[in-house]
Amino acid sequence: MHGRLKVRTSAEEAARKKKEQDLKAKAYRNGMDKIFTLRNAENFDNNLLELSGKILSVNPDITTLWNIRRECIIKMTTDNPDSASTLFDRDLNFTELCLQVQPKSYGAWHHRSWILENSPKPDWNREVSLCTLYLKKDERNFHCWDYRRYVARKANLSAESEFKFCDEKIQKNFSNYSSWFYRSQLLPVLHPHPSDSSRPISEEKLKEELEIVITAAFTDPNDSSAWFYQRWLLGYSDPKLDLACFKLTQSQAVIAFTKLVDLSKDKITISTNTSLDKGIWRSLSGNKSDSIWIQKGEFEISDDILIKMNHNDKTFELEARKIDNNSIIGIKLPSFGYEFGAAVKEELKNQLDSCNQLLEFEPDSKWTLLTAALLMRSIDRFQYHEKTLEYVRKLQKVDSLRAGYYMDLASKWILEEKLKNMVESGKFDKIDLSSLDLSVVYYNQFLFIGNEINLQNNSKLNKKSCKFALVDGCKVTF
Amino acid sequence: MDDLPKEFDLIVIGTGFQESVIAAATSRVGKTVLHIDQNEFYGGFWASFNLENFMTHLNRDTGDKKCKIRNVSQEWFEFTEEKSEINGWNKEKIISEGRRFNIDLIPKLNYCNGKLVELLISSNICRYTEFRAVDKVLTVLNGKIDVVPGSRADIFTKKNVSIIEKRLLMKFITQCVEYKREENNESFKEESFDFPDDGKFIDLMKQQKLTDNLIHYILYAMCMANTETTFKEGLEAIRTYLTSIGRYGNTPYLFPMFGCGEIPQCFCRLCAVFGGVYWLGQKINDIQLINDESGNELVKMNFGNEEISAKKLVCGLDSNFIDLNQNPFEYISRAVIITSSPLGGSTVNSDMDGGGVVLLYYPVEGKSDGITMIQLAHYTSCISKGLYLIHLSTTCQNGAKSDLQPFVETFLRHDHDAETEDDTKPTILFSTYFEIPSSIKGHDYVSQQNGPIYSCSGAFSELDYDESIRQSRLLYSKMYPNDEFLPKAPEPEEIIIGDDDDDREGNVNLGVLADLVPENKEDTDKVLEKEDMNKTQ
Repeated sequence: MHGRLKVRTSAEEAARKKKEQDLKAKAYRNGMDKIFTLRNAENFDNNLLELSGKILSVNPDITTLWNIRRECIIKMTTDNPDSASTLFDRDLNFTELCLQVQPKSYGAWHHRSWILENSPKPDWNREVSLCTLYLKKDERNFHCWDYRRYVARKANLSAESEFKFCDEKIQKNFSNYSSWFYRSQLLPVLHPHPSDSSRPISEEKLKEELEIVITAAFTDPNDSSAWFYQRWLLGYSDPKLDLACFKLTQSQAVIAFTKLVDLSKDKITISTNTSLDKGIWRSLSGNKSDSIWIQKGEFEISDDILIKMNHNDKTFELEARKIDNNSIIGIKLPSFGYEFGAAVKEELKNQLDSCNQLLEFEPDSKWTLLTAALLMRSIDRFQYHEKTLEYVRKLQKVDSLRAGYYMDLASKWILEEKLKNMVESGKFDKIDLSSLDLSVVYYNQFLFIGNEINLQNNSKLNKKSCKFALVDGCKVTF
Repeated sequence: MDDLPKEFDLIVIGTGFQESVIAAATSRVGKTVLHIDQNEFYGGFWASFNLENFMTHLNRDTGDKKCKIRNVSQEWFEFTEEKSEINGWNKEKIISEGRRFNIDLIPKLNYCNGKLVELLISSNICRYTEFRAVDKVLTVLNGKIDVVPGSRADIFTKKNVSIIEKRLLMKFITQCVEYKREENNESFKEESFDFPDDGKFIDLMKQQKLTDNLIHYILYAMCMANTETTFKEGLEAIRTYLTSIGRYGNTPYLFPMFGCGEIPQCFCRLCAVFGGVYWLGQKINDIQLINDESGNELVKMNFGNEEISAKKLVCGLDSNFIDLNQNPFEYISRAVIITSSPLGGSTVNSDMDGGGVVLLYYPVEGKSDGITMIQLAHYTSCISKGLYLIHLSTTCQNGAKSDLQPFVETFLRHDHDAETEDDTKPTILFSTYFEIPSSIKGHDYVSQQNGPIYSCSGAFSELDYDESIRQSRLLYSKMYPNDEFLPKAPEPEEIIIGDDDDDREGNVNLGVLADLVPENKEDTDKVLEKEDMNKTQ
């Protein structure tokens, strides 16, 4: 058999693999032993770096070894400051080696930032190039995106160039949460809204972004990354802190905020120029943070009250009026979302047309139904109220796995409409929320204002969500 | 060649694709193979050449050979004193660079998930070759060259496709991939097409309300089909396309670096690794069938002073030893064109570098197959930087020039006027036309062959190698019904080096951990002791 290939049988090959694994395990244990012995003896020298380096280069996910390495480098550079730059440079190259083994190693990326923070001459631009390289190999490595945002800040890179980078990545593959997120961070810097600080970006840019995102959504509706970005654009973010509602009766005062606050900590001062200013506010739930706060006592129901809240040097006001001899109430209708300008509305209407066109031959397409509903609410949430509810009710059927989510969404929208009507009519005494198929009650901060709230005939209602029912003097029937 | 054995299990004449596959497969299962080519080069009709050898080869005297390249013509741009060069290139400069070129006689692409890629991986032959993913797929839409939105990223970024079209396109192609006729699941049926198998694919797309542009992209660019294509054929074509896209790049195709001539050669390499003997440039005088002592048929042949016998003989289409009545052939019309700017100009080449490999399928009215254009830039190592190698192929009907003229006259130009330059039409600096023999798709080449002399089919008029591989498998199983076809070749670490049997368990490679293995017994004991302690704990 001269000149013929001799090949191991699979059993022989398996034996060889096993031998290799056994030896590797022994080497690993032996190495770890040696490292701990050296560390316990405080022998912080090159030998320790070399030993830990061997093991880390095979498995860069051992946080303990990275810690020991840092300990070692600190000791060595304290003893001999001249060695610092060599040591840091060497370790920087070493982490790169580890990242080639495991590009998603928390330890290796963190060690890199530690070196640069401690190194006398960090080269941040080099780090940016490194990120570009790694993101070329895997555009969805979120470790690397995170690191990139950090080094780009350190290197003082312009938002323009970073935006361009993000855009290229999105064009290549839009299933990329990291890139969409970075985009949402950069846009407010590059295209801030000229007048309204609560709006992240200008209307012109918003229009363009909406176009991009609907294109992504139509290309691959099952990819959720674009949807999340669309939500951000259309403003489904946390409401800004503000006063929401106030009610004073002879025995208690109730004040509510648009979001959870901790009055003992958050440096919020409430001034009313009445005896309330001296009393103590307690949260309704007893938790440290709450959106509804109560002060018990004996109060005089006399004049209208102007409530002022000061937070971070900003003052918010709420006018409360005496409506009868028993109560003084004030309510500020919340903003349920952004109010868009004409150009953006035009774009939203175009997109709505596209959705409706598509629904003609894909009537059960769940993502088209949802987008259409969200678009309608962004154009004019109350004008399209019935239509949006119709779409969401349909979604409960065609996408039954998420029926609960759609029901909650409908409940929220119904309540928004009720609240608006209530504030417009100025009648707060009795609030009728019966037979609305509610699953959850949002906007608790506004509902305690009524004396009688009817929630009957909502069979799927989660009563736990009706926190306002705990407020004294608020009669709720389920 | 003193020590050349006198007897082989198999002799293969010709180093074309199918011959090389058979040689590799036979050698791989431990049989002895002598692989001969009467040419001085590998590949036969499948070869790639530099410019000089390419021209020499096309123009060489092939005597009274029946199956050969025919109707060769060539033409250079007339460089004059006023027009001494175009984009820095003239005849002399191109010729002086010509050694860098790799010009294919028959250019082909592979589907990333096609039979060739599958075979290269399953047999481990992939280690002998390198590919480049095709960069762009073009099409001619309303008379203009346009980029086909093939992948999800393309569809997302494509400007002149409305969002509704994007949705329709994505939905249609997704449905094509998921479509199963056998599926009895009711909910599945609803999502499926209600359409007869033999209905026309184009009618299905119309039924699905796809717009004309979308139908064009799918029918002509993705499926390379025509209006007569049935639903079943179209479905298969689009599935091949879609399951290949995104595997190695943004398009579904691969092109071999250094040209298609590399493909047969990588099979030859495997054959040689397993002991196959190679002999190129050897004239073969005569072949005889004899019976050995036990009455078995043997093939005997003389070359030079040598007399060699083998149990079986395989001949390639270009070998002169096959019966052309049993193995009918036709021709492929070919053009090889060199330009100094990429096809389509700046409208489809944002950075004007022409990409690496560009594919365009151009349907021709009244002809079942259209013209396939493959444009290569220097990234493929087939042409110099700044030049573009344009390959045109179609089945031969009225001769190469006339068959390919519809494309050449529309998208290329013979003159050059820098002033009024329409940069979408590159000027032809050099062109050659020829017709090359090919086998007929659908013809049964294998079942009548009973040995001991077998013949191979040539290239088929297809974009990839699938039919050639299917034919190779058929022929091999006819020759060796009990032997496996190209099983996985061993990895380097599975190969035993030297004659020593001690290496059966082999050297283990521990990398940087090697010197951490406890050396002396004491250390090992300590580690083992600790392991025991850990276990008892």
